[in-house]
Amino acid sequence: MSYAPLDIQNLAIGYGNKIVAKNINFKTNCGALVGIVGTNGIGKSTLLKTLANLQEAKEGNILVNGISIKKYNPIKLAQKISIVLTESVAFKNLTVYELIGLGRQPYTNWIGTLTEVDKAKVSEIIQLLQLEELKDKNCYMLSDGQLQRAMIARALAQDTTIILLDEPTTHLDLHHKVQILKLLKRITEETNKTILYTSHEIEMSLQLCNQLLLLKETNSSFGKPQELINQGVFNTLFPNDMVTFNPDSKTFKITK
Amino acid sequence: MKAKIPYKFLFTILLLVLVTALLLNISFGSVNIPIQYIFESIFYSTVENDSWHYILWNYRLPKALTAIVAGGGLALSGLLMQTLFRNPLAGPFVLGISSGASLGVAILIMGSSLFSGFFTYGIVNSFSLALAASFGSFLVLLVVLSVAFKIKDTMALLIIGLMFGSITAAFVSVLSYFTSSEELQRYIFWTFGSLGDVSWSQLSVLVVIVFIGIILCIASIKSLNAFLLGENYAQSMGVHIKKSRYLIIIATALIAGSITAFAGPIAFVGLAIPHITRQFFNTTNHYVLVPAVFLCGALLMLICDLIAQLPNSANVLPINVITSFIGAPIVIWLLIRKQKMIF
Repeated sequence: MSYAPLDIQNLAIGYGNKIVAKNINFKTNCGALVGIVGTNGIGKSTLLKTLANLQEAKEGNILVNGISIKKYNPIKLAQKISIVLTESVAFKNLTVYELIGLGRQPYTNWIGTLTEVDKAKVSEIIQLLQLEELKDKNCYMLSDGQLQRAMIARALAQDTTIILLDEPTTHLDLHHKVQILKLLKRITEETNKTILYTSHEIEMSLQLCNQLLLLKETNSSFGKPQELINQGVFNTLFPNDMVTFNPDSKTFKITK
Repeated sequence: MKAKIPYKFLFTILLLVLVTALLLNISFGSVNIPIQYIFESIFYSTVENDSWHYILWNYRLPKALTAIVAGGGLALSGLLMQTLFRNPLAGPFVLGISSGASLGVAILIMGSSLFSGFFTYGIVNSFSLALAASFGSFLVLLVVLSVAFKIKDTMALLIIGLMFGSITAAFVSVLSYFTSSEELQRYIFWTFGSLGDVSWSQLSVLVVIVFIGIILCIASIKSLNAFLLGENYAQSMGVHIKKSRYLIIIATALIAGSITAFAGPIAFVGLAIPHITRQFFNTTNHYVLVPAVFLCGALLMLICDLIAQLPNSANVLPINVITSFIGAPIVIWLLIRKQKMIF
């Protein structure tokens, strides 16, 4: 019997003394693309950082492959969970190749030398994400969409079963949004990794995700997109005098 | 990473230039010693010219070696701070490490009149100086870092570092006000910076402390590279943030503190050299940068010292004057050349 890559039990998240969301329960499948949606400020980024152990959970358990996240040492956890944050790289003079190579850190020796295995892994990922032309460029030369792909490549190089992405499509136009989301979808299909991402693009997430978490202050909903639509959870997400949800077309309409 | 041979090439050239600069440095001065004699003196230890031999072994050689250790060490600690704080303007001076060292030395040299009974004459020697300076710089860095935990804005942190510089300067002023003129003069001369006052025994202490710092620095190379992405990413890649942060700070405090103790607060090397090195090597990988920055710092300091001793004249300018004269224009040039500072 295999464990779920991520099993979240009665989780409460927040910062300082403040709890922003509680009673979060969900189990992800292997190779699933999981969207985390919700209104602004509901704690999507906080949830993601909590899942990556960058922030402490206020309550509840996070099980990674059936084992509590607290029982992992930093290196072992880094081999299970990688993350792509909204914050940009601090030093943009890094080349794309160096950036992706840094993703091998949990596997390299004390001084960080890339072995032949590491180099092969990096090359494989460069191919998978079609970054050949960009690999010698510095990060500051890249467009937002290219940089996002490079950051995803770095997370992939970390070779984890779970990848977390915070707002991976925020600054991108429609074409690049779709490009990134389809890329994530393709990665889950080809590598059987579990990818969780936060997004404001509910409509796109409904079309692409295997599973969806609608984050709320209490009683968040989790399930397959169609299940959530049938439960009618999107109808009450926004005030009805502003936008209404149409379950048939799976789209939001501005109320006139 | 993509090109290993050019790095080797650059390192070879750098080493050759460094050796040349070293030879020139010990050859020129108020008395010119022919390079041929230097070779003879080092390899055959012939004593055909007593005064040359004395100058070479008791003055020029320790001074040149101090220049190498001080230049390389300060540049290295500047690199560490720039990466840790993710700020191109960071350096041992900006964040108050050197003012911390100054405070430690000031208390040691001038504090005896203020806290009589606590300090006694006679304990001011090379070892206690190094200890006071290292302790002072470590203390100030710890305070700056405890503030760093509370605020995330690096610019605010820089201003806080400058403020700590002001506070320590004020404290030193208080000490100066109450101290005797001999002690004050002794302290002022220390602040001018000098590579020439370091004896072989002092040099060996300096080398040992800096060497420990360099080992800590080498042990931090992997986490330094992770810090290039920011602390959250570093943590997500398995880096023990607190441990690595303290390792980097201890390394910096040991290196910058001990150099400041023996050679005085030497300006600008720590800030300028990492930038210059990044230009030449075009990388942010610390695996390359750590040795490269050290060599470049050593080279610049040897050249500065060569200029400071004014060939063919008996006058020696304080080293601080020269490093600022050379370092400041380089930093200005860098900022003008790159409208946007990418590092």
